Amino acid sequence: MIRADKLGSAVHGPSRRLFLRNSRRDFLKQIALGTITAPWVGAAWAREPARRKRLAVITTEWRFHSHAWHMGERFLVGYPSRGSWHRPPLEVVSAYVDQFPENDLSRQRAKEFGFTIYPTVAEALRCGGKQLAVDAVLIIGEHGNYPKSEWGQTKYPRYEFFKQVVDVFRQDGRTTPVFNDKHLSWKWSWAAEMVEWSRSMKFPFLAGSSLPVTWRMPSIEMPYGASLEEILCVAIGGVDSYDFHALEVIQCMAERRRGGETGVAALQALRGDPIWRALDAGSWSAGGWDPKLFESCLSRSQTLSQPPTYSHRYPTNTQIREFVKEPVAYRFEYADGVKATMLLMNGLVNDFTFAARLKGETVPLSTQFYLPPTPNVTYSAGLMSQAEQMFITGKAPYPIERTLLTTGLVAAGMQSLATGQKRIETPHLAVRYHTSRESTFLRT
Amino acid sequence: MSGFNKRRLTIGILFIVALVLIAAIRSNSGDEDTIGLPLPDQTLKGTTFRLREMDLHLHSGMERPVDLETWIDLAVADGRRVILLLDHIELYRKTGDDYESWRAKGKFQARYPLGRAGHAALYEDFDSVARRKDVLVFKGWEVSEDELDSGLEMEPMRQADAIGFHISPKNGSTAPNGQTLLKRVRQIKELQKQLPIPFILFHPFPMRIENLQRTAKNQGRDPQTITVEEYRFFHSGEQEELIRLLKGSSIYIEMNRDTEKYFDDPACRAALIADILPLANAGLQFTVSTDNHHLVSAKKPFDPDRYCVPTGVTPEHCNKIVRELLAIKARRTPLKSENKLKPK
Repeated sequence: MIRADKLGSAVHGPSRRLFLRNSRRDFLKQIALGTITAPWVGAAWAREPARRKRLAVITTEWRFHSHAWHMGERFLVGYPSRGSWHRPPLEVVSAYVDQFPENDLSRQRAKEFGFTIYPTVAEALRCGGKQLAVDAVLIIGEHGNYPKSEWGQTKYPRYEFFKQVVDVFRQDGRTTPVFNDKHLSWKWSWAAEMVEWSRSMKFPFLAGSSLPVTWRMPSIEMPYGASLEEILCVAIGGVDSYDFHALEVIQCMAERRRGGETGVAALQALRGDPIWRALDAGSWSAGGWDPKLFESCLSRSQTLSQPPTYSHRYPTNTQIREFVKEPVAYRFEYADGVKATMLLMNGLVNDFTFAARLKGETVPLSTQFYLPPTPNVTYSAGLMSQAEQMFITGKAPYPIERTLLTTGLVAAGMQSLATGQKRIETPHLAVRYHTSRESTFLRT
Repeated sequence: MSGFNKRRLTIGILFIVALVLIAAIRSNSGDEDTIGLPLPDQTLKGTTFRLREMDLHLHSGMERPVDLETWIDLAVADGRRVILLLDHIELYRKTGDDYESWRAKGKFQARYPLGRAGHAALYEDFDSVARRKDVLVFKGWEVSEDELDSGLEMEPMRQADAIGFHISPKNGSTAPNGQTLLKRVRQIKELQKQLPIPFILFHPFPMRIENLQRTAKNQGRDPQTITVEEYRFFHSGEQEELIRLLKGSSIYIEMNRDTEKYFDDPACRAALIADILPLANAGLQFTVSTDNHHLVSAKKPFDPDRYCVPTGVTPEHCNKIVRELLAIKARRTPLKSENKLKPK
């Protein structure tokens, strides 16, 4: 069949009149049947059989190097996937931006990509109308100027954003999938409420860090149903920020253990000198962690600091103390007895490594959670591909309970640090869940 | 091709185009019904509320001239999309006789009972109109600055989303100025530790002008002879101190409609710009309001751009409070899930 957009160019000479007569008749028939479109109307819907899903971005601020910039913009410009450039079948139609710093990019992006920034979350979800007018919601409550909690957590308004989204769902009688970047809230009870709403209102809800879904070197997974004894993650960054990423590294592996997730019974955070005593302790029971796990993590690092003139030498404990000025540790015990330690070792490493002792295994299972460098930070594409999958299928690829638990661990860690590094019993973190056997990290 | 055939062809093409356009319009209108596509003018709306879309000081209680829905309708008809409804808190403390004589004098209807029952009834009405989808409604009180010295009625204040402190013209006494405002700011910063909601300094600048002009008249002086220096609210170092106290806080300065009436006087205008512009440039946050009590003022178009633009106060200065109020509302409002919801 000759398409209507070839009209006038495909047929010339004597046959043109016949063509015009026949094609006009055919064309009218086809229009009546709705099987053809003209090139001058609705080029987008002419090419696309199904309407692209409509996405609202709700964010604290949208500037260079912000999470809205490297997460949200994946839905504007696409991202690489398996050696080709993937263009998500979603259209950003609206946004709510809470703060506009001088280097704000949201307005520029809105102009370039044709979406509208609304002054409230509700208006963004309704696109200025009276009913919910989007098919998916991306909440990015990271960065911006917000007050601190009594324990030093930044009070990013993720709960407040989420609540306003849920309120629109409730008022308008319809829900959509929701993705929340990073942990759910600075406040445990609010995080629990958020999960409860998604359950009771039955909408898909996904959250968390890009670490669980980024590449691993080596590309290994925790065997499903493994019997775990102890886990360690050595990472970079500060508290109330990168601690969450490191905890998600631990949790995405720990949740696959035999019996599934049982929750965390207690946590103690350490900072400064107590860390060095823990480093020398030689075992979890002596107040530290398994030195073999620590060695495995440092051996998986590709950024291990070195004394002058050396390229790659394993550091002594004395050197580690010299490299690291403000170490932080969260030592916590799962309800089923598994022990875990998260170490933030700025100055020693510049990456995220993981090691676990499996029952009956002499060699720890270890890997690096690889973060590709700037400017492309491709790990954020990995996370957004998971969000996209949920937006399209309506099914969260992994349980929200993972991030509920890590949210509670961040809050407990900050509380412990702010209250004399005391051990905190965490009965509220009895978060029980099972994850699927399927892996969700990037491999191709 | 003959002229007849050409005409047939033209008519045919026009017919096709019409059919296609109808199909396109029907297709698009179908989308609008189901997914609420924004109308073209909606895409032109700003990223924040425009100044005239906000009124963070609308009297809607005992002095309200019409029923509450009609009162809100009037505001919405003039373009309001965000409203802080409030009433003078002290009115509810009147005794029965005082209340009746006050009502008779002002020809006010008996809209609300006195005391705690009145607070509850007023806020029940405010909650009722807050369900409207065409306007964001918040609840507040206007509290006299004197109560910061004499004692505050905390119970009803705790029910509010925001509190405005009435900076008085103190007619017959010293006009408000930089020092008196700084004193109030220090007091309400302390208060905010107990009551962490947004506070607004209601109409500080026009109240000084009102005092000076009234005092001049009482003294037989032509107000036109008042100089810019006399009108100036702040003196050396006071703006810097105010900026230090307010920067990053949840305390806002009101630019209410009274500012407009003084803006035609060149001396007042110059003083207002000199007082307010450095605060705006330093990033302090403001609110805009009508302070409407009566039907006459409610029917008059609200145009805060007229005095906000020259004083450097932009929509961005005035939107932070809306965002803060929405966040507070989200934290406070209980949310019950409903079984009728359908997962998508």
